[in-house]
Amino acid sequence: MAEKVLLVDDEKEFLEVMSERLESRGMQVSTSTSADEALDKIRNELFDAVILDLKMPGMDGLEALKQIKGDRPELQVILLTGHATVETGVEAIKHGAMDLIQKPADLKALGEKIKKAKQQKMLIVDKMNQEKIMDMLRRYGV
Amino acid sequence: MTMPTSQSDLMFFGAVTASISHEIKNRIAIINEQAGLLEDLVHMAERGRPIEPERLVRLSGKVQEQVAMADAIIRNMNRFAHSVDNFRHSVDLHEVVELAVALCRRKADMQGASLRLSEPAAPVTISTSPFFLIAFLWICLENLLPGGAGTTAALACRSHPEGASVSISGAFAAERFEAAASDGRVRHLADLLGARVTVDARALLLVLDLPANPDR
Repeated sequence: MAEKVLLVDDEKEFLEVMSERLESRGMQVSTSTSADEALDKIRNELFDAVILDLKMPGMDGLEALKQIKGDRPELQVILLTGHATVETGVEAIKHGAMDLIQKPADLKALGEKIKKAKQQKMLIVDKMNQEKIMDMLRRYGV
Repeated sequence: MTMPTSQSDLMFFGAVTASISHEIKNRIAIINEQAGLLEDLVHMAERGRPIEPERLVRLSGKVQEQVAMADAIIRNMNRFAHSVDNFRHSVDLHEVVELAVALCRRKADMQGASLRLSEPAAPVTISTSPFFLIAFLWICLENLLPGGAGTTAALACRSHPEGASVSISGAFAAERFEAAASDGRVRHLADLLGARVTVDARALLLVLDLPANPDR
């Protein structure tokens, strides 16, 4: 099944071209030009991965990451930045990002990370379901 | 005349350079994807999917747009770099404020605000330091813009008998104008410019009065 990706960046031109390129590689792509719009979509749809720009007007990528992980802990987030520093990387991973990629991005490498993100998400969802089943078994004494 | 500089002046220079580099990076990232898309279209053509010539024309047009934007950013960067060539000299005040507005635009975008510069009725010429004037406007906007999503900062310059003035007004919180007035960096830059700063927090207005002869 195709990976379902949400691209979040305030540059419409960037979103347009990148989404076309990812779709031609078999992915299902949605786009948002702001973190607020992205959070709305994430609360109403299921995605395998979010590609999130770090610097955006209004809510920035790090704040959006914290809210995404709060609402959907299983969702994998890849941050995109113009200037990756050790500090930014540490901050990103600390708040649950799967990876931090510097622009301009290598699309092949990004595609591989998105596939890995989907696998990670499936593992987490499986684990969550198992825990729910075990909890039900304990509660109803089966 | 030796140009006096402090750590805050150097920090300002670094902040502007970082902002410019971000803007250029964004253009490059888009051009990179557009080049990648061209490559993708060629690969698809090799696999039998025809390329529409109009598609290529549109795509090349978009690349040229991004190149033009990057070129404008680099021209502004060059003008900013040369603003330190001389401490003080005769300038077209509107042109210097126009450069400051261009450099501050990304800062305003990040806050969801906008900047507007009105054209003076006649050219405004004054002897001043373009670098410190740009720094002054940058730091004033740094104080005014936070929390100002949807607001426009209106800048204007005009001549008057004692020299010239630059004003910033906008529906920002009154405390923001008070913060600008009490910012030590604002006072330091006003001193370097030999200028007087007036802030009217109720009228939501900040005015920098530049003297005709700053050495007096």
